[in-house]
Amino acid sequence: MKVVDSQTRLEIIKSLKDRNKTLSELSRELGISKPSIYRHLKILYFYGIVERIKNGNKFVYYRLTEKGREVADLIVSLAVSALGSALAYTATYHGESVAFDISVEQAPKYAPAGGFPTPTPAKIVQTATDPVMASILAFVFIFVIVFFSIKLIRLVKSPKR
Amino acid sequence: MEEQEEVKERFNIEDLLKKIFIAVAVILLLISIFGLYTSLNELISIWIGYKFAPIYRALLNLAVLILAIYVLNLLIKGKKS
Repeated sequence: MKVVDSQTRLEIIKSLKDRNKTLSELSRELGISKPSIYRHLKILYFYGIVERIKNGNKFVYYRLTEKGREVADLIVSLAVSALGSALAYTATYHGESVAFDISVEQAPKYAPAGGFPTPTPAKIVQTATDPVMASILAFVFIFVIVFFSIKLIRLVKSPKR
Repeated sequence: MEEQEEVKERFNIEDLLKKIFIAVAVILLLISIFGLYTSLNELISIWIGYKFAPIYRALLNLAVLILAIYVLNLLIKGKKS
């Protein structure tokens, strides 16, 4: 929990997802002072999210560990799912209210006299989308899709044991 | 000699029982997965209107597809190693 409760630490994890970086590179990229970045890196190192590597030269690189990569995948999946969920909420909320209005106002006009029964608001409400449930379902489905896609790609790319 | 045969027979019965339990567990797993899949489809029918239902069904099927491919990949890689 301590790992993800700081925006800077999340930014560091996201940044290290692409490639290994030095303290200076991270500081420049995120626009945060070196001591502050170092403090966050120390916490991430303590929890086993990042590791230090020396490449023979004087620079120390920071790299995500396997646990760190899993945390990064989880963060990306949660972010994408939250975005998809918000989009689903907006789309269903607006889309359904428009559909409701049109149905109620125009349906009687197009229904032939004595023909099929005119739709009543009660019937339309039954088939209306619940925006909250729509956003929850979207969140769950998108999370599973994104999280396991990332895992699958990593599994396929990883060298054969 | 007789003792050895008895032990061998006991092992065979144990193996057979183990296989039967595994088969029952796999059948239960398949039934529950099918039940979960149909329940989720029903939830979509209840909570999602006709306009958006196909999108949600597509998302559900995509999630199931990716999960199945992932599990298959894991099994294949596990077998190879």
